Amino acid sequence: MKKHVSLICIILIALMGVVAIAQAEQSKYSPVLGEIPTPSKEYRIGVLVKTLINDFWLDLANGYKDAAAEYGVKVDVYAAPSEGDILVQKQILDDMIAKQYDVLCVSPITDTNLLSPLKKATQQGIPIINVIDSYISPEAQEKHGIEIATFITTDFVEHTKSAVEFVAETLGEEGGEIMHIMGLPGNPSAEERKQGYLEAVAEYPQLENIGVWPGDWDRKKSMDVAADVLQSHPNLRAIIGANDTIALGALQAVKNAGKEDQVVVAGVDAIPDAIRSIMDGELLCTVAFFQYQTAYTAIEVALQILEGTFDESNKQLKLSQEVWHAGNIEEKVETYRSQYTGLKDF
Amino acid sequence: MMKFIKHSTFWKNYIGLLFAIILLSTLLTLTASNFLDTANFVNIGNQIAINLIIAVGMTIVITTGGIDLSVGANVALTGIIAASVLKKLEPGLESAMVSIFVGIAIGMLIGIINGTLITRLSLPPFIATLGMMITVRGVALIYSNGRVVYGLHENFLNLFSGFYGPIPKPIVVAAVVCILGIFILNKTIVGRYAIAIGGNERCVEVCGINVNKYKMIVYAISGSLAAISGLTLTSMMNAAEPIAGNLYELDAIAVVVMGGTSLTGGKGSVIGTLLGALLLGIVRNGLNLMQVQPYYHQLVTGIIILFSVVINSIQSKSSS
Repeated sequence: MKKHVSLICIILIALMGVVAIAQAEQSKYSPVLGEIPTPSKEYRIGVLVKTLINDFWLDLANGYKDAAAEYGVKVDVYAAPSEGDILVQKQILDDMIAKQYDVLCVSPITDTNLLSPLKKATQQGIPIINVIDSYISPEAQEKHGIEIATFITTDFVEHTKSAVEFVAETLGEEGGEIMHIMGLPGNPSAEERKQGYLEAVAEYPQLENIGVWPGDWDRKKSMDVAADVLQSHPNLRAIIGANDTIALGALQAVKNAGKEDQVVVAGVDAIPDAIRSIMDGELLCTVAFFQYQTAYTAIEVALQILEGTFDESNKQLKLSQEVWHAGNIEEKVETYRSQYTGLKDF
Repeated sequence: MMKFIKHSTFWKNYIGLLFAIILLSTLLTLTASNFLDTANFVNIGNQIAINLIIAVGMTIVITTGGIDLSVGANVALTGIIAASVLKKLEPGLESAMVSIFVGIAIGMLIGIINGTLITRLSLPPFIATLGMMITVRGVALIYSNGRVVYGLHENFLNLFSGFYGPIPKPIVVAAVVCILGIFILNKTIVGRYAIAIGGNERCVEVCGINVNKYKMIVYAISGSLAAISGLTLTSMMNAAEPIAGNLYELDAIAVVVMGGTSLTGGKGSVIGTLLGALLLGIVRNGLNLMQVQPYYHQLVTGIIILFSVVINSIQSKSSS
């Protein structure tokens, strides 16, 4: 009960402050979409996210609800108890289909766990929007008789590219040795971010890529890896972490080795911990990719689909992202404070 | 003379592990230029400390024929609670002490609950601690709301991280825990009974010894050591995460078994565990130094764990 009350409070606060800002910021994301039609009736949109126990999905849920309030449609947000509950998520979707929503926005926990209910939804003619993760590929869609209207996401390859770009700018002409600590090998977003790193470093001759090590999304493991690499490559200049947790672990190793002045560390995700570290002048930068706006856009796309104005050739919509660093961090936190749970404490 | 013989059999138990460590070190000295370097040894020590602290407790548990799968979750929960307590108090040495006390108390409590489930409710240790592993992880997630607690003050950080002279504090903590573990297992009544219970529980019971009491103590020790590990980790990282310590139980079990402690109980060695942790630490360090492709790390680590366990089993067969 307490959780519900606080959730409602968060939503209310968000509602009060956010709408104006969301409107102002919206221009940045809407060009790909064109005009958002006014709904001809009060549509019911069913949203299924992975879970609501972490800030990322909570921000997403807030984006959905704020957009729904803004456009005057009804949104129900469902979630599995944790990211491990793949079967529970499937059962929830089964129940949701019985409720006959006008559109479904789904973020499957794995790329296979929701296939059978999604097939049922397709048979009933309910439009489906696939949001952020996990991606139901066109091959899987065809094989299982599923039709996904569009996939709204962020470009994971681009995340690390932006980080490398900023590091290259920071190091300047001189450049130097650079490394990547990736997430869990085999994990799709870890692989995509690794790919982004490799593509980006190839574009800067002054950056010498010394390799990719596994950090498994784990802070301690990433610290250990960074400590070892600092040992084998004493002239290292930059570390790109596949996420902020990895970057902060690596940063700890850099501090332990007393090489803060020599090595810069960059992360991805813009978690509060990383933002604090940037403010303290330790972490160089992080990449924010706007999950709140992603959900907001999903509702707009849903409206376009329902009113028949959606450009159906748009099978994938990738939203923008930004590098947050010491130079702009205060301003970014100020701008996005009302939309992101993790920024409220700053 | 007696002492010499005792000494030589002592080393004989670990000949396989020592051989593997020496072989691997030689290999790494030849191929990775920075392996043979004081700074690198400090690195390895720092890296194995967390696992070693947990593994000492695990050694005693496994000696009784039990297992403790809840240690990884224990690391996360004690870290989260200690860090939260710390954040609520005024910075100072006293509050650091309070948070450490609370952390260890929580860890011990988890151990006592494990012990109660196993002794009073007769659950198999595997199931009891598996259930506790999931429950404790859940509590850590709920308590922290899935968030990282970070930015802890110096008084706490200085207790477990940083250096005593040239030696990092995590290594000192691990060394103290190891000595304590050797003492408990070999010189105290708890250790004696742990070995006896693992050997033949029924027999110990018939002798009129309160088996349940000693099992409880053993799980409480394991829980407390996991808590110390959690506090050390939190202070090393200057952050407590609800997902910290993921799969640490398996790392701990691996090094315990590599060290020659028998999973069926009755035989345990903290020195073996120390050598096992050292070998695993050197393997991981070597993989990083030699820039092995990320995909191969798990394969190599797995093979080395299997290799050293096989050597152990061949050895114990030939000696019996």
